[in-house]
Amino acid sequence: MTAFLTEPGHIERDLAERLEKRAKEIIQQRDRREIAEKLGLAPSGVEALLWQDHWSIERALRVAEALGALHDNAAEILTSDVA
Amino acid sequence: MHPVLVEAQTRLDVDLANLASAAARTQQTLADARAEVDRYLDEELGGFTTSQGLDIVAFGSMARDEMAPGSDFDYLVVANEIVPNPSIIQTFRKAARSALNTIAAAEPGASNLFGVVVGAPDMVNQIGLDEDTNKSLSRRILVLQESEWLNKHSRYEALVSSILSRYLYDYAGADEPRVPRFLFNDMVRFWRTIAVDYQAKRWQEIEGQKWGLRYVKVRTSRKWTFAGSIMSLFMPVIEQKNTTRAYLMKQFAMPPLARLAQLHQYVNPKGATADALRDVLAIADQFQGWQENKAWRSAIKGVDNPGAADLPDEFIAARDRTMDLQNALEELFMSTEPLGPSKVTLQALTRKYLTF
Repeated sequence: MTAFLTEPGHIERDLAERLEKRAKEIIQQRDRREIAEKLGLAPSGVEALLWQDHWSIERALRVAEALGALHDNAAEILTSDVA
Repeated sequence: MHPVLVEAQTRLDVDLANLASAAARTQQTLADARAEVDRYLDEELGGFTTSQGLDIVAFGSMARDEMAPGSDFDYLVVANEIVPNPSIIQTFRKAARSALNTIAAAEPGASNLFGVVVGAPDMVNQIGLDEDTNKSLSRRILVLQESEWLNKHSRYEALVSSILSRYLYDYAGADEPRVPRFLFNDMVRFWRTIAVDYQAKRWQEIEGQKWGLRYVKVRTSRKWTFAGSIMSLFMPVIEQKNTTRAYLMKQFAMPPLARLAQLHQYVNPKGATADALRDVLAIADQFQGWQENKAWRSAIKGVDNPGAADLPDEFIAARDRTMDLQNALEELFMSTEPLGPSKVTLQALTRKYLTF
């Protein structure tokens, strides 16, 4: 992987976009009811999630973690204050 | 889709597939939101078995049967009586937020028009004069025009009934088929307020954003919601039925487009009035279809100034269709076709009630 310097906001946006893309792929492949249960959403919530673009970084991390695309607690670690 | 719209679709021979799909989505989302509200309240209150004197009322496309994918809803917590334990107020607010989360929707905006607690007596008692602010006017009229209850043991019907009774107070004991002037004038006042405030907000936000979407909304769903409400208030005269609280409750229980479409049963399906009504419904269906198209929404959202010279094709096409909607509504409400047992015309009603 090529590392490159960029603005912090861009890194966050890029990460959110990648996680959103991966999460949507997983959702499309699996049973919607199972996904709804994993995410704590109603069936209509899963449809809404698929339709919405430009997820916030927090949503992208939490959804990706709940779907098993990230290690457990990754979302909490990444979104908690470093201090 | 509401049975009146299903009937109108057949009788007027108009395709309302997008509205049908939106209605199915809305009913599913509404059921999901209600289930989550009840689950949350049941858990937090240690059993939600009787009314707590509070109700969650949802507004917007959810109550119009017009939800697009990803649509959210605005809500109010309505207090019907003194709440002995104020923490329950917060529990109800959190229940509404939990319902929004479960359908993956955003919370209401920061205007405080929604997302707050209001007292039911104020909604009934405070009509007109200084203390009837933009917010109280909006909340009261929206309860009638486009609202739905979310929690069980709800006193929502009593709220609607009480507001309507207040508007009909001066007619008590003198039932007859009439256009209820007090309510009618308040409906018109709300519509004019929306139109004036649109300009005021544009003026305040020197470099505002997303005006394309607001422009389309005020010229489509807001407009047909107003038109549907006016039709509901003309219907007692058209049908020659007494303008009672029960009659109006049935009217406002219908979504706005169904209130408008109900006229189909009184018009010649081959005539000019039917043509105008068909056009209104077809345009509404087209906009519903557009709402569900990501590229369209993105293009419209990207328009900051609807008066700019370089506008995207999607916006220009949408603006043209809003003008078609305006023309169709003008044709409809200026129709000279005799309607119902009274043989009254919409033109006569419009002239009498919408001009002076």
